[in-house]
Amino acid sequence: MSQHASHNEPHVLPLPVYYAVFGALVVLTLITVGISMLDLGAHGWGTLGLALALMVAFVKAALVVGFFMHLRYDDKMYSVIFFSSVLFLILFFSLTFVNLMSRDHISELEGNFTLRKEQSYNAPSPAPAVDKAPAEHH
Amino acid sequence: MSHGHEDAGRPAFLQHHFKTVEQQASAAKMGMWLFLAQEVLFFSGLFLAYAAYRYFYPETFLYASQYLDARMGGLNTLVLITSSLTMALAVRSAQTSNTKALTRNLILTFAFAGVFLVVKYIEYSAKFAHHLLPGKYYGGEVIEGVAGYLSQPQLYFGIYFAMTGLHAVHVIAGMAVILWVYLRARKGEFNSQYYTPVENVGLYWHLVDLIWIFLFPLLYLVK
Repeated sequence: MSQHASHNEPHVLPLPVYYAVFGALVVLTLITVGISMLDLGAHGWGTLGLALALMVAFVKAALVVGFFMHLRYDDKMYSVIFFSSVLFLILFFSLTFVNLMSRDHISELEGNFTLRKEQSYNAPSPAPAVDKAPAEHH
Repeated sequence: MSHGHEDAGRPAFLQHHFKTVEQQASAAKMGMWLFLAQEVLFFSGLFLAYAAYRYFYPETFLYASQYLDARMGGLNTLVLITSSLTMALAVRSAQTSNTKALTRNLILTFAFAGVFLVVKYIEYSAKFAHHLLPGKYYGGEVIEGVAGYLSQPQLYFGIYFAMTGLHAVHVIAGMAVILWVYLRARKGEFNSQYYTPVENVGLYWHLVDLIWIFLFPLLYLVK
């Protein structure tokens, strides 16, 4: 597969690298929890909190994949394989959300029932026949 | 894996259908990466279901996720990250032909994985006790003051149990292969010339950690 000269000696990372990555992962985990505890309060901020948490998660993922899984130092073929799955994951999410996010718009034109109606306590909507579990009230 | 007999300088672990040790090692590694690519896509279905449901029922996710204890989730995250460290150190131990460190790190990884499952068990027990179950099995509270059909805690718990359950199955499978590699390591099978099984089990284990890294904020830290 890869034409290396003498590959009998494996590529060994120095120990401090492992501990540094571990330390970064722990710190990033604490940051993630910290972000969630910030009083981002009202609507809109919740999305920011989600975006921040996901960004931190991506950094953690990059550290695990790059160093612990050695992808940074390995043959590029493994990176191609891994990132192609990520590419298809992005495709999967994007196309699905293009659909999901455009449903209300469609219903405005045709007046059809959508997956989610306008959230309003006064909405005189015929509630869809949802298979709900009977709730136990105390 | 069958072991051939040594002849013409071919080591015993080099199977007959491979030309060189490097070729065998990189073929095995590529096979594992292909499997990991599949695993990413495998879990992406559930992650997308999560995204769709959270997009349509944000108040349900906000409300129902309060039942989860972020401290236990956070503890489990640190446990898995530590297990990833010990696993990576195990691979390094094999690379440096340090059998003692290798077996020690494998056992530590196995132990941390066990701790993860114990914490999961405690969490699941609490859910069962309060009837916080998926779909039609849900027997907990409903959100007050929100139009009935918008309050769907059973949706959230369906997602919760499906994702953490599938992940836990992967943790159990990971523990099994770690144990297998540990038993082989104890017999001194691995060294700098041959550590492929350790490396590939390590890759799998890191993916299990990777999935949890995303699960934790998405399930436990909904604000």
